[in-house]
Amino acid sequence: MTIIRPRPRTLLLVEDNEDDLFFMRRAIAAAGVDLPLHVAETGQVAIDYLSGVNGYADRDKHPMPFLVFLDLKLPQKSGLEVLAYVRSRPELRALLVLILTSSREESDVQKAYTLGANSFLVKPPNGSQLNELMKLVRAYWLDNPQLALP
Amino acid sequence: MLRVVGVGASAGGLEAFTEFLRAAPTDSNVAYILVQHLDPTHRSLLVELLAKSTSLPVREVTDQMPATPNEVHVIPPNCDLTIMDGVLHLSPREKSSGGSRTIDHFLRTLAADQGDKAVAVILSGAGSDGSEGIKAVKAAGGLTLAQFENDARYDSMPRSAIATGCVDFVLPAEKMPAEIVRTLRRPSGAKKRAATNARKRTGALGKEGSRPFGDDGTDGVDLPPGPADQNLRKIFFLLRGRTGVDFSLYRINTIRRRLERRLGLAKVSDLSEYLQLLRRHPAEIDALYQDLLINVSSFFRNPGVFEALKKRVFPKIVEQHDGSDAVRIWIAGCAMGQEAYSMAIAYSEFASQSGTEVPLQIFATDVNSNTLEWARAGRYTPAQLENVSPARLARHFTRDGENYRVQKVLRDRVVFAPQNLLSHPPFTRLDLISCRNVLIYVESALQQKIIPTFHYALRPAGYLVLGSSESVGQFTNLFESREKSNKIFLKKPAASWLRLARPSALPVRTALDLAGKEPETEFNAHDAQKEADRLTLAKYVPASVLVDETGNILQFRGDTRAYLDLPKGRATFQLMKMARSGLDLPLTRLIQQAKRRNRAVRERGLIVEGRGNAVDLEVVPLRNLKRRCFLVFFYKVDLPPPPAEGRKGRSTRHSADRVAELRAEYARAREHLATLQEAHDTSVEELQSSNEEVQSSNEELQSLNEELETSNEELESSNEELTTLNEELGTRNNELRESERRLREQHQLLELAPVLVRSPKDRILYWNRGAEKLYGFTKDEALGQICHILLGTHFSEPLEAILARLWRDGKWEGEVQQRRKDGTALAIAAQWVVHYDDQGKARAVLEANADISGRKRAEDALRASESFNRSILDSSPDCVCVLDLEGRLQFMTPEALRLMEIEDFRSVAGGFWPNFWEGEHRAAAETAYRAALQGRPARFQALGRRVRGTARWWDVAIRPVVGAQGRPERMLAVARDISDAKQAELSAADALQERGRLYEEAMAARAEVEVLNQVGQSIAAELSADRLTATVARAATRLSRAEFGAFFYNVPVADGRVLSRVSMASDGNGPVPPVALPDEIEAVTRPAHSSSPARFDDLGSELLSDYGSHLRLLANHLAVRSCLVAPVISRSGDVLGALFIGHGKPGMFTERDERMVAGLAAQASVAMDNAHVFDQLERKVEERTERLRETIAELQAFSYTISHDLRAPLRAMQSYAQALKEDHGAELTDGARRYLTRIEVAGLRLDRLIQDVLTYSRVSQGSVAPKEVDLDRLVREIVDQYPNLRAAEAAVTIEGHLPNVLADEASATQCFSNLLGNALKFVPKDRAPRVRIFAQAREKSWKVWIEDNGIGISPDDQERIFKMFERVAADGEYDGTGIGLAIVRKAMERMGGTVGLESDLGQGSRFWLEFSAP
Repeated sequence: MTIIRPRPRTLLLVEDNEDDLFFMRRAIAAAGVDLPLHVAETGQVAIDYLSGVNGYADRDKHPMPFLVFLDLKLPQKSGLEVLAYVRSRPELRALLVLILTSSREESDVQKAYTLGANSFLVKPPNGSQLNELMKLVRAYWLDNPQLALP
Repeated sequence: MLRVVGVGASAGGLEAFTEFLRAAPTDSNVAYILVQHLDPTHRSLLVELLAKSTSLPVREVTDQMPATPNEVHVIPPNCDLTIMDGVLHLSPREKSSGGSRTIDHFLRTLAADQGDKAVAVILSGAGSDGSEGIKAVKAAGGLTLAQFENDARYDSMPRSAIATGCVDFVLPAEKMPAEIVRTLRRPSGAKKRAATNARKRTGALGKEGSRPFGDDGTDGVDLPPGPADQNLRKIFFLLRGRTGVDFSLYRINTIRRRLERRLGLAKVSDLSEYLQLLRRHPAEIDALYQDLLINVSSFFRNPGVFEALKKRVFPKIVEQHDGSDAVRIWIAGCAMGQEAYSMAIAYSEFASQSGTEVPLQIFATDVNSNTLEWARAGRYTPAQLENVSPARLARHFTRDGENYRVQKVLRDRVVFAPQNLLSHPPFTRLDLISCRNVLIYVESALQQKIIPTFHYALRPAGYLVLGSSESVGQFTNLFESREKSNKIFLKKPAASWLRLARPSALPVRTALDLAGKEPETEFNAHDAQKEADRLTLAKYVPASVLVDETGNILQFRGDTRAYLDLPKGRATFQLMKMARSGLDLPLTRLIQQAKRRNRAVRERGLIVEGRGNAVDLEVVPLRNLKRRCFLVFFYKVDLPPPPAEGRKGRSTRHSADRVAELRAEYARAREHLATLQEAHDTSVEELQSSNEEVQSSNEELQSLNEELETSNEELESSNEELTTLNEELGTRNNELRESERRLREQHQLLELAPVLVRSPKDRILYWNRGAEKLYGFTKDEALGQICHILLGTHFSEPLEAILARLWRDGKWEGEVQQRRKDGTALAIAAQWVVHYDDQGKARAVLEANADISGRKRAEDALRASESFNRSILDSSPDCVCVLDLEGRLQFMTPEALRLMEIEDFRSVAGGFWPNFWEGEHRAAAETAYRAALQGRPARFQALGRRVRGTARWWDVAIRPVVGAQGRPERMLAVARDISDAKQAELSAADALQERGRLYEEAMAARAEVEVLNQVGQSIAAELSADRLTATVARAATRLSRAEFGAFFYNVPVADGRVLSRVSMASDGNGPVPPVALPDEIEAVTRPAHSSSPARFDDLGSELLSDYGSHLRLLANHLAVRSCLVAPVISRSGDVLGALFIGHGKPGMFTERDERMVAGLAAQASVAMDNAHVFDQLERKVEERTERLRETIAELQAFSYTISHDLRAPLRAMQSYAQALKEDHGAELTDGARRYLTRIEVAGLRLDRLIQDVLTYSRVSQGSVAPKEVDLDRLVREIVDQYPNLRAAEAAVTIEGHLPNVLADEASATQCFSNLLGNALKFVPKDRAPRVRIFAQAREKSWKVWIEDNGIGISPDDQERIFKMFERVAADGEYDGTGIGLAIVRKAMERMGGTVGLESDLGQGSRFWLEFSAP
């Protein structure tokens, strides 16, 4: 008994590296994902965006994302801190957060899942592999009819 | 912090409270306030009774008395007690119509004042007082206790408290104080315990929810008896005006109870005053509104209902569903939403079990929009969720701080909306309506409107669920009961109707007005016009009767005799019965028709049987009347003469007429039948309405019953007051009996002593048995006699003086001589007391006389004997002294004074006898004196001083003089001068002693040397300053025979400060651990800061007068009189400390001791120096280790960051190269494209290099704890999963079963995959790689071999390849970073294993890994 309700399908990409940003946009486009993509360059901006403060109050302009790609190494607030914040807010608790980072460090993986990341993806070493990864993301998180979402 | 414990008790409470207090500790900082129901007209003995059972002070409360810890405060009778800011206030008790609620009253204020620090205790008692207080205290977060019901003499009070579900602990009274104190000490744990306790208990009782109106706040408010009261009515108006909700049809008893509560809270005494308050303060209206609405609900109330719904109702509903729409459920009266969410949970459980896809929609409504906000939020405290099983809690709730929140999925299923069941339109097309425990709060008239509404709102075959004590009432035509116990009803297919215009008792003002005017008479004007009308009517109007709806005749008009007759049997005015035969049926019919059509109906030509005349009947309904009435006219008709009957054509005409006649008859009969049917319907309706009446009277009976219960409670509470009183009376009775017994004893005692009473004129008025016995005169002989003449009293002073004193003081005491009847003289100690009357006039003199003749005689005898003894003593030639028990001289014979050359012995040495003796002899004297004190005679020889002359030797004997009790009372000391004999004796003894001393000294010196050696050996290796100093102090004390030894020393501590400590040797108080040195001792240790030892022979005479004659170094340790201090100086000349020994006596240490102690100090200084150096070394090592650790940590962080940050630009490089190729490939030359490919390949390699470095650094970190690992499984898994190993040309064989070894699984995996990777990689291009893996058992380990057919490694390189970045193959030929083997070596080292290889160039390599066997 699924009840289908309109859902704002917006993506938020939290990433400070311009190059990575470029390749992510490229990969998302290459995977054929046609959803609005918003970017937060620092952890603090991501928090502001998600909680709708400091210029992000207008939800028409800055809609609440449906899925967040979160880098771990960020200036000011780290990705793990952003994740902890998101999971501490009752209204954000169900938000889909995919960690996308260059680190495969065991402690980072552990912490991210403990804090409630929905997935932990390691940035591939080059663009074509990133494209493949985004196709997988699309297939699983966006086009998957068997996936139940909150 | 002060805790206030409010204890409520009633009948039987004294016993319980006594038990409670007996167990109460006296130092718990708790103030106990006892609130008991006491007889208002009676002084209470509680305080006295309780004081006997506890050592806590017990006081009756006075106004403004602060609640004092460790005291018991008792409420006085006839008072209400409140507490504010910890101060107790008394107020006169409100005259109450119901039972007393003093306990509730106090506990509520306690909760308000003390909050979560409040403690409430309910002990034995009848009634329900205290339950509300318990709730209040619990709500404030306080602690609540109730007496174990089976222990309480009267259990209804504790039982009712427990039933609230708010009691934390149910305990016997004597266990409570301990629990209270324990809980107060450890608040968090106990609260938790208390909470689970409460939950458990409620579960066990299986109580559903709580009574909605638990409190009967009948605080003396006299409420009007019915809803007709204008004030109540106005209150309803105000309520409806502000909230839109009409309460006039709510149950009046409920409303009155709530109103009483509000009145009590608002402190007003009647409704009109309250009404004023409501008008002034709209907020009070809101408060009243909230109070009136009943918000009691809980999750899964009556769980059986939900089970029934899941098993039997939901399946039916879903089965009937076409799937196009959701299952629609209406929760009417949802309060805080528990019912709605319970329903949603139940449905979702049903849905998941049955797999149905029909969605759910719940409408939850309540008239109170405030609670709807709560309900919508769906947040509940753990207490509210106690009926929810952990599984449901986990599945449907999320934690929200301390509370839980219903999950959004469920919340989305429920729509909350304000809705008044009584006036708003209902939802429609519902599958299920749950309206539980709502109808019980409204009057039955309203219930009758609601049930049809539900019927209307439901789909065909929809279900209705009601509360356990509710029913569909008369509407069995609308609903049939499906499950009686669960109150589940099924909609019957019947016409539904919906009446939106709700009846209300409020807007009926007009009806009321009418009712008020009703008694005004109808026919009171007797004027002429009316009379004229009447006459005219009687004369010209056809005969008629006025009947009411039922056919009862109200009035006869005109002559009706022709149509009506008096029936037989019971007298009646029923028209149908009175109508003559032939008219009755038509009349019935006509009236029915008139009623139905509401207009006049007429029927002609009716034959009145037996009278032969015909009549036309007309029935006219009268309009605009309160009652429906009909006027029945009888018009007389002249019958036409019967037609002439001809034979001819008769039959045909006749038959035609007959047919017409029969037809008419038939039509009439049909009409009649219809009428009968109608009449039948009417009576059914009537039956129903009387049924309703029965129901309503039933309701009334129920409410009466409730009132009876209330008065029963009142009776119980007065009964309980009586019981309390009775208890007190019983106790008081016992006391009376006790005092009577005491009085009797005293009387008997008095009889033993002679007592007489005489008048002021000396005549004897009273003569007791004692007097008879003493004087020999009987009562008869004595009474009336002049006292002094009869007894021959002889006074030792003039009688006038005695009498003067007697009258002045009111009493006289003295000794007189009197005579017995037989003439013997008596010495009498007399006590006279004047007895005055009310006016203060002397009425009599009481004489209590004691015979002291015997004592007098004994005194005389004693005096004589003493003078005899004295004369004996005086004649002794020795120095005879008498001492008191303190050792002071009491008496010396004249000879003694002469011998000692003393004139007044009190002036010598403070009169203290031991002071007469010199030096060591003084001790002997004291010993002897002590022995004598304990009753033993003693003897000694001693040198004693004479006052003027030289000291002389005395032979002294001292013995106790034992008194009457067998204890020494004083002492007798006799000293004889033996100076001449003593002189000769001493000179011989001296020579002998000198020899002995020399020998002893030699032996002692030898022992000392041994001890010193031992000490030297034991401290040489000692590193702990504490142990070292203790050893030295002990040795010094032992060797110098000191009583006390201490080693003061300085310990440098971390921040450069120096801590002074002292190690002490035993001084009789046992071994002493080193302690920090008290500041005030510095004065003593100061001499030690010189470089050589110092000796003090008598601290009393030298030095430190501040310390008195003795020096006490530390509290509780020996006071020393002589001492020796030796400094402990290091090689560098610093003073490290000082060695100190002391003795309680002066002059105990010799120069030899000094040398010995100095030697020990020197040894100690060397040892301490050693220890110090060692200590410094150790600290340095620690510091370096710490620095190393930091460096390692920094390096790890560095490598992590570097590797991580290196990858980002690398990724960018590669990706841009790819992007360039993809996006601009066409524009590029082949060469450019090749370069791009090279960039990519280089990037990939660098990335792998970074990852390898990362792995290496991870492997280097710390150590692992090897566990038993199944190598066989591990290696086979690697081979299966490693893609290169599965390549078609590669052949990997594992020989046999690989063993279990001690390893770390992750590290071992790393090693094997690296080695296998190498084995496949370093193979010439023309050769197919072949790998063989096998294990070899060693003594305590396993060697696992990995053999390949690759290019091999020359022996020269075999060590080098395990180093970082070392590669043997030429660059470019074989891919690799040169780190793989370094990782393997590191990982193996970490697991405690080794790695190695055997190889030759071109021959392939055999790598081995050696693991420990498990």
